[in-house]
Parts: sequence; structure tokens; C-alpha cells
Amino acid sequence: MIYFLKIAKVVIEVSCPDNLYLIDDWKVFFEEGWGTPFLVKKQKVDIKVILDGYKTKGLRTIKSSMKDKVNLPSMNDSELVFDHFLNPSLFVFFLSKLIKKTVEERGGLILHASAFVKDNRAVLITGKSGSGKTTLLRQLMYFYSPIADDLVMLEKKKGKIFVYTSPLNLKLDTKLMKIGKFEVGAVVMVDKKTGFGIEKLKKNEALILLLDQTRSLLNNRVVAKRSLGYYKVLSANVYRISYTIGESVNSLIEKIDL
Amino acid sequence: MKKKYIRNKDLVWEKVDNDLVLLDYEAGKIHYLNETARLIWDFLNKKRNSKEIYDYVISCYKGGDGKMEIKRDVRRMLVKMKKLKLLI
Repeated sequence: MIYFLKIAKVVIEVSCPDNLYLIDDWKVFFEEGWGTPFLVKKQKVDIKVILDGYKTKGLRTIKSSMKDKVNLPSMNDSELVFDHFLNPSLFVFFLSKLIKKTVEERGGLILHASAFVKDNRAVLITGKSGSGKTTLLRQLMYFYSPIADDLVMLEKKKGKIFVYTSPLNLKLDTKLMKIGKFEVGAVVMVDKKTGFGIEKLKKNEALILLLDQTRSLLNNRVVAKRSLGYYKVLSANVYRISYTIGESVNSLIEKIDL
Repeated sequence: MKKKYIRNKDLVWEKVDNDLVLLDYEAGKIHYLNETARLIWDFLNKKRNSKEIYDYVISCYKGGDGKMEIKRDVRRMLVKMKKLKLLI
């Protein structure tokens, strides 16, 4: 399936990964909540914008994080060739960047986290990189509908935080996902190092941990201030969960009060 | 003239129950203020000298620790907060 992503003023042709089954329905859902469409019909391509500023930054990021999997675009006379955009991981990468930009421009917040639905409330899974957020989500996905992996879109309204579904992870079967906007009932922090169990954290400890996990992203005043406001609400119901792969983590999730 | 102190306005902060969390987003540092530091932070929404700060903190601890002890605490805290660039 081919889509056209609009990045800055540029529209790029990309192929959508086959396992993102929900993408069409979700596109409509996302645009209802956040406005400006970012998957658009083909338009003129302005190469200049691609070559400097915003996009150049993006390409550098890809180069360092994906190393040899990525071929940077090459110049063929005056035409820029984007072979690597056909890579499904890059579809997700760029889509994530666009979502982040759109959501943050409208007062929302993006978190590096996963989420599932329990009793019609969202439970966020946070933790440091490599702590097992996706692993936990995959263990739970046949019991609780997943709604996001890796990237969570949050919106604060009247003192409550809501999560929008974002079916954007290639490691997850998006057929199991539920599209919607769910109020956050709890946050789970994954800690695989300390045995098996679940404990509720004090509000101040939870707030510090949430800030600590995301401090590298809080690099400007607007996002920093906004994040503190969101985390203040989220920190009211945060649990630390410890387990090793293979243990029945469901019994721990059942203990979460929403 | 006595030196005056004020909050560093480049920091973002949020009250959580009775505590205060400060975020120095440029340095990537998080600060969690104890009770005395929080009183000082609250009071320094405008420039004040150390005597004004001592008097304010002492007035908040009616019947508690001795005045000299509070004064020592406040002095230590001012040095520390200045060093951490929470105050300017």
C-alpha cells in the first residue's frame, strides 16, 4: 500500500508496512482528534526543503540509529532519489516524527511508552530503553487490547489525561488493537531486575522517575513545562512492576486499581 | 548593600502535594526541594536579601527549631541553591 507523507513542505511516497492493518481507519480517527492531515494526496515536491534544516536533521538521526540499513537519498541530476523510504521501519519512523510534531503543536504530549486497555481505561507502560515495554505488551495483548507501542499520544483535558491509539509498531499485530481515545487509569513502570511483584509508588517518587526517564526529551521550556503538568496528573497512580519473561504477569496486572 | 536573591526564572517547576519539583531543562537536571528550600523558593518570587529570607522562614516555623538553627539551615540552603543555579 502506498501513501504520501507530508514532511515540512515536502510530500514523499512511502510504502506502508503490511502489518499495519488499522492504518486507514486510524488515519481518520487521528485527524478528527488532532486536525491537519499528514497523509495526503500527491503534491509538488520541493527538494530545497529536504536538503536543509528540518529534514537534514531527520536523516542524520536515521543514519546514526539504523546504520547500514539505511541508504541516504542520492542526487540524480536535479532529482532526489528516496529508495530507502520503501523500508517499512522508515515509514514508521517518519510517521512518528509527523505525529509528534502535529500533537505537540496542539498542546499534546508524546511519550516513549506503550499502552493497553483495562476496564475501558488506558494503562501506560513506561521504562528505560530495553526495559521490556514491548515484551510486556506482547505478553498481555491477548488479554488486554493494546493501543500503542513505543509512541503514546497524550492529551490533557480538564485535569484528565487521555491516550489516542497509535498503531505504529512493526513488532505488534495491529489486528489486536483497539482504536479509540481512553482516559489514563494507571502507569506501569517496568523493572526486570528485582524479582516478581508489583508496588504502588508514592506520587513524588513516581514524578521523579517519569521525569528521569524522559529528561533528554525535555529540551525546551514549552515541552518541559507541559511534561511536568502531564506527569503531575499521571504520577497519582503509578506502579512499579518486576518480572522476568515467562512469569505470569497477568496476576500482577490484575492488582492495578484504576 | 546586602546581596539579594531571586528564583532562576529559566527553570520550570511544579508543586506536588507539599513538595516542589524543579526542572533545569537546559542542564537536564531534576531537583526535588525539601521543606526549607521550598519555603525559600516560594518567598523568592521577587528579590530579597538574606535577612528578609531568615525572618520569613523563622515566621513559618513558629514554636519549632531554635532561631539560630533555622538561620544556619537557611544560610546553608542559600549557598547550595545558588551553587545549583536555582537562585540567581
